[in-house]
Amino acid sequence: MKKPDLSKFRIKSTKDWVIFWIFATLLVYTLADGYDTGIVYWLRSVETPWLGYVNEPQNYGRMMISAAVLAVLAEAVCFLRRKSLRIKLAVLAAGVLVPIALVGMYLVHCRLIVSSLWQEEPSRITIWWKESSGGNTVSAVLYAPDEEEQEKLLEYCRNLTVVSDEALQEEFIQWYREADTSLFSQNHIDLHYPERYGHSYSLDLYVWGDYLYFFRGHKRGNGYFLAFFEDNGLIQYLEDLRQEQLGTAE
Amino acid sequence: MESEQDRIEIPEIVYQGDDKKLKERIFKFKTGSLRIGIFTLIGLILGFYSHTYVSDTFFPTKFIMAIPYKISEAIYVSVLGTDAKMMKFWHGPVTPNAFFPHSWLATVMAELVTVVLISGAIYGSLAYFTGDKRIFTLQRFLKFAGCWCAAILLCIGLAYGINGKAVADNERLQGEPDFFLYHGDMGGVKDGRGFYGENAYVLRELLYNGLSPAHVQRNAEDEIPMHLIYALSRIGEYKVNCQECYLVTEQGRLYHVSEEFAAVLAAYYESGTLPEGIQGIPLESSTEAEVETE
Repeated sequence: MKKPDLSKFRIKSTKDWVIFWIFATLLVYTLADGYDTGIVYWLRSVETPWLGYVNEPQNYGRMMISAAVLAVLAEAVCFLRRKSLRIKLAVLAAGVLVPIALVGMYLVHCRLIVSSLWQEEPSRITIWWKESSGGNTVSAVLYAPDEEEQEKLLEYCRNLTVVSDEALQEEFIQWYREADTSLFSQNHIDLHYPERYGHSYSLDLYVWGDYLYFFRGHKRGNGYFLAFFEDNGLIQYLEDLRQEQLGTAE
Repeated sequence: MESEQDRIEIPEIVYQGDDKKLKERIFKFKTGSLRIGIFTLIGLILGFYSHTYVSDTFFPTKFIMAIPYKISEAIYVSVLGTDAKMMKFWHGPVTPNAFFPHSWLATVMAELVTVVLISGAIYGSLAYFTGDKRIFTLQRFLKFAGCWCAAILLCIGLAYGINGKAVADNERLQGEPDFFLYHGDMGGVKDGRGFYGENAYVLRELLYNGLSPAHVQRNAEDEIPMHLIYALSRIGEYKVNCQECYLVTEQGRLYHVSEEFAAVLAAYYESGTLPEGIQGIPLESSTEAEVETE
């Protein structure tokens, strides 16, 4: 069998090596889209519980996959061109360190986005109150609090504590699975912040009975990421505000 | 003796010169051609994914990936124009930002095939500009560019041709359509719902029974909208006047429709539900079954 002539495929000039790596990066980055779901779910599990999927920084998973694939490609090129062991180890180290660095950057980026809650004033605060209008029909009443009420609400929200006890979290998640958490079945407060560090930020708190929680997004296998908060008086304040404004109890 | 004299033997001679420059040029031409082929192939692949620029937040890659798509968009939307702006009802089954809302296939030609060809042309041209200019001269590049332009123009022509046929077929109500009906009131359309496959069988029967060209005076105030979806790839927008029992197409062609069909449409517009027995394939009657068994 005639040996194929691979010499015509050999890249000789520096210009062509630069073009090769640009094209390889573009191809790998483009094709990595859609394969980063697992990484996104994992990043969601390690990021701050104050951040929801709507405000998550994008494309970090894609960049991690691209870095890993490009490192494998670079390693293959090093072997084919018979580069020294030092260069091969350097490429391998880069292939490991770059994705790790991207994870670190992602976590820092998430914290910077969430820092708006404590460092900036929200552009708007809105409350939705559940209102039963007879039978099975439930609707919501929209309320825009005045300046004094906004300050009070902001103070409560900034001083919330995330439930960290794992057993208690499991109990709350079990409650969430069994409860009817349709759109208008609960009260809801939304704090919205303008764009900062490339992303806007929203804290969507849902209040039902004694539970105060924030839906952060889905996880693999129909699960949820939820952040539950210990009530610091916010629930009662919302109820008092509702009675004052609507004159009705829940 | 004569046959030997008649035969002229021409000896085979192999070139034994050492024109290294000629050999080098041949080798560079072959490798350069391969290089252009590889660049073009990469361009075709990246063109296929060009639409993913929308979800990319990293600006340099977003910019590079967007170029072929935006060029195609400029050609179809800004330079040539499409009939997308003629579609008045942008809810229901119509994709509002499709290049050719009437024809899914024409949209694929515009949004995918043309983009792939443009991307292949751009990346192939890049190989020319970064290659050996002694071999790949401007004249060769112009031939290369001319071939790609011809291919792209052909694709554009095909897209418009397919859309034109789709519009013409819609005017003649050709095919076995599915229905998208609207529910509303004096204030206008509120909601809509699709009836596909078996669920549209009776509607289809009612529409085509009694369908004939009409010459009536239109009363646009009482017309209600309807979409027909043919083979899930071609969409036609129509209006029906249920009192005067006529249907009008996008280009103003009028058809008479049966009173039963007009009544069903009016009932759905008013109540949001079809009358009983209209949805689904009607069951065989018991008398027909008895005849068959005999």
